[in-house]
Amino acid sequence: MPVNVISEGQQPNAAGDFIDVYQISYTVPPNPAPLTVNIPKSAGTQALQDAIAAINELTAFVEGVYALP
Amino acid sequence: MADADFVPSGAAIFGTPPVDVTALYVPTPAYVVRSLSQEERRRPTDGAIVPTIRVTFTVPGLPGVFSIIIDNYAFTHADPLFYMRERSYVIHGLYALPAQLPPYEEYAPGDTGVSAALLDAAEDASLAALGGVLG
Repeated sequence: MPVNVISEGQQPNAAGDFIDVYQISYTVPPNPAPLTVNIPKSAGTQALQDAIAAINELTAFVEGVYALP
Repeated sequence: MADADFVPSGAAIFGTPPVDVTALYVPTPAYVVRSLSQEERRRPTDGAIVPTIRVTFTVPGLPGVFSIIIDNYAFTHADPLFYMRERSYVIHGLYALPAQLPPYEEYAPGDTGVSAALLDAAEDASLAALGGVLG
């Protein structure tokens, strides 16, 4: 699960305010497409745990999609 | 480059209200500041407009250009360099995933940059991730 690149962007939160986020692009070999999760920058060092959770969730979903008959 | 060897440019005072950003421009192993931009943000707690500086920086050895917003008042009431080191640690940690770096607290007190141990851990994690691709 190598992280390819980390960029920055914004997305609306639950209140509709735009917040700064890390956009973490990674790949899950052998699946070809890069995946991206957004993690709020305001989380501080907690962003690392948030990223792990988000990556695990998205990876599980995408692997399920690839496994579709 | 050692910190003591670096002589900041004339851009020592910046922003509205003006603050001393000399120390921010000193390059470190953890970050290298590229530019500053004066902005404002709305404080969620009371809606007040707060002057804040967007600091754009790179992390040596890692791809990407990053930014962090630090309120002007923090330059006189807090330690902006701590914020920079913490943000660099997070970026190192994100690139190291799925490996996990040692907790930041072990390296924060009195540290003037990302410690050698942290850099070693990040490098090991990067190599491990690369091995996962090649293997």
